[in-house]
Amino acid sequence: MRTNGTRIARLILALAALAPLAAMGGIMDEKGLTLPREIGAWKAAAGDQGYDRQTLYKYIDGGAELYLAYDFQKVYSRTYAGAAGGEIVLDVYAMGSEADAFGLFSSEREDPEAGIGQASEYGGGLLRFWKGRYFVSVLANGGGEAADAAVLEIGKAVAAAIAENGAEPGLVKLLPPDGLDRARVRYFHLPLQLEKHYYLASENILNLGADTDCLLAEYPRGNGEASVLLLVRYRGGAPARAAHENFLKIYMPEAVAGAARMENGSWTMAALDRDLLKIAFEAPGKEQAAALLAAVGSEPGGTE
Amino acid sequence: MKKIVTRREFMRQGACVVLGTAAGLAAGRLRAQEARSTVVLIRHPGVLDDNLKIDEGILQKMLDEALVALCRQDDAEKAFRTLIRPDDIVGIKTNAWNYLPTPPELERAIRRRVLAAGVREENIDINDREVIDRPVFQKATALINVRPLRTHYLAGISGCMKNFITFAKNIPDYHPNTCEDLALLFSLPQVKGKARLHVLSVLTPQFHAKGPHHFDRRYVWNYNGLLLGTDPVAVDAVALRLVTAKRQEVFGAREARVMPYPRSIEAADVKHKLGTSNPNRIDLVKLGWQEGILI
Repeated sequence: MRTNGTRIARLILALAALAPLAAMGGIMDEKGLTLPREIGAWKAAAGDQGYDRQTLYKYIDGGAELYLAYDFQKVYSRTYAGAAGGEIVLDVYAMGSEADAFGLFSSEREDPEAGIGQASEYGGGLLRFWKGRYFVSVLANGGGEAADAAVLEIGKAVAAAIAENGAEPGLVKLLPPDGLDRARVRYFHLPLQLEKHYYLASENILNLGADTDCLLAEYPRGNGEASVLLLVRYRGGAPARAAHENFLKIYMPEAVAGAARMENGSWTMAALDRDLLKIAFEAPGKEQAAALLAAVGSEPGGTE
Repeated sequence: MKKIVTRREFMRQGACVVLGTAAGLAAGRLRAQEARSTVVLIRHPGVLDDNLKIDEGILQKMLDEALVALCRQDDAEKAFRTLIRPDDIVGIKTNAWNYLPTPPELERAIRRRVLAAGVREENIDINDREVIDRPVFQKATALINVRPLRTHYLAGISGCMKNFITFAKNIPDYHPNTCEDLALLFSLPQVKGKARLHVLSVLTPQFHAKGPHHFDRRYVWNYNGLLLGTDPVAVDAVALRLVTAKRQEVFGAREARVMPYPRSIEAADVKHKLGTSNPNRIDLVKLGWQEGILI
């Protein structure tokens, strides 16, 4: 929400001068996002903060790796204090790409949509959304229902200040649409993210890294269970083949035509399409696993 | 070559939910040492009021009773003297994380016992993020470790071992493979051989979180307890059981396991020989309030 007059101080921020501007209390990025210093009874505390790839560790305890893995560039942080106590922490993360802004949002999505930005969620005083190449978090710490309402208003103001929308990662277009739970699509690069959502192995048996693009998607079956589809785009056919072979060797050496029945009765099936490794997990049968893999779209431009 | 544990091994055991416990059992089988560790869990229904205000008197009694049980002494002062000598220089390593810090009431309760053990006031310090530079911590002969239990984005849980991370000169050095080698913190010059007591506040532990600050008020519950031990690995292993049990209660079996799996606990036992992670070798002494104990 933007208001007028003296209640709103505008922040015109320059990416190249992040640190000096942070010290002055006004930062954002090269596009000059303008954010309110006051929302109702909530006022921005002095001393906005800015952190880059080298200093992010100082700001978020232990979570920096997640953001760095999504090509984090800079974060602008502001704390709003409430007249009746409590605080609201606004973080605006500038990512290297729109795909990574989407990915960061998708990585922890689990709450209901809040209708802010390109996709959002709100629960427990925490609003998360993405828009363009920005990922935004607004968190209330104390302050009760008044803080919760202000969280959403601050979120709307930030979303309005980001002019352009961004495109989802190209891999998302390859997902079979039938039965897909769009709220449980995760885009990531590193094995840690796979482990958080679908523990596969104690080691990185798919050779995931900063140069792999991964998509994990769920297809619920209505009984509390879901088939799981993993797509991994490698930088070339050779690393994709190596990962495919490693997966079959370690995870299901008994596989026939890339498919095997698991100990819990479900089926796992893996297939390779040039640089794209496709794996279906938790399928109720071999045919369903094969059908899910066959329904994955084919993207021109896969490199050999 | 390191054994690779896949999801299928947990399927074979019939339940992914027991991932942590199963890994602990595997660790126990691999571990050559036969040492046992004691962990004391004490709870009291009246230690928190409806506004989460701590009754400091009750908290002191909980700490004292737990110390008596842990050290097998007649009273708390005698118990504490088995851990701390009057000539010790004592650093109380607390945790100042904004959203769930170590309660000051608990810091004070520990400090009272350190003073009662005969330690001079100027030889006691309580700190978190500046421990490397604080004079008392620099010359400390004994460390007491106290912090709240919570989940952690990278390490799985933040427990006793993780709390010594601020003794490291370069914290990211301990982040690889989901903080697997946190036990190495206990080899740092400021820490080695000095940790005498580990106290995890489970008054209001956190069992799940997300977002950059990894805090969500929905996932903190009133457990009204303390976990104490002299083996940080054993205390963390029990803490993991507690968080897993709470997640199973709230989320169900499918989401019960803590992810990423806290590899540091098993590694501290099997790889670094710092302590005991095998639940079969941990004597868990449960005192006080039993309702909703979960473990």
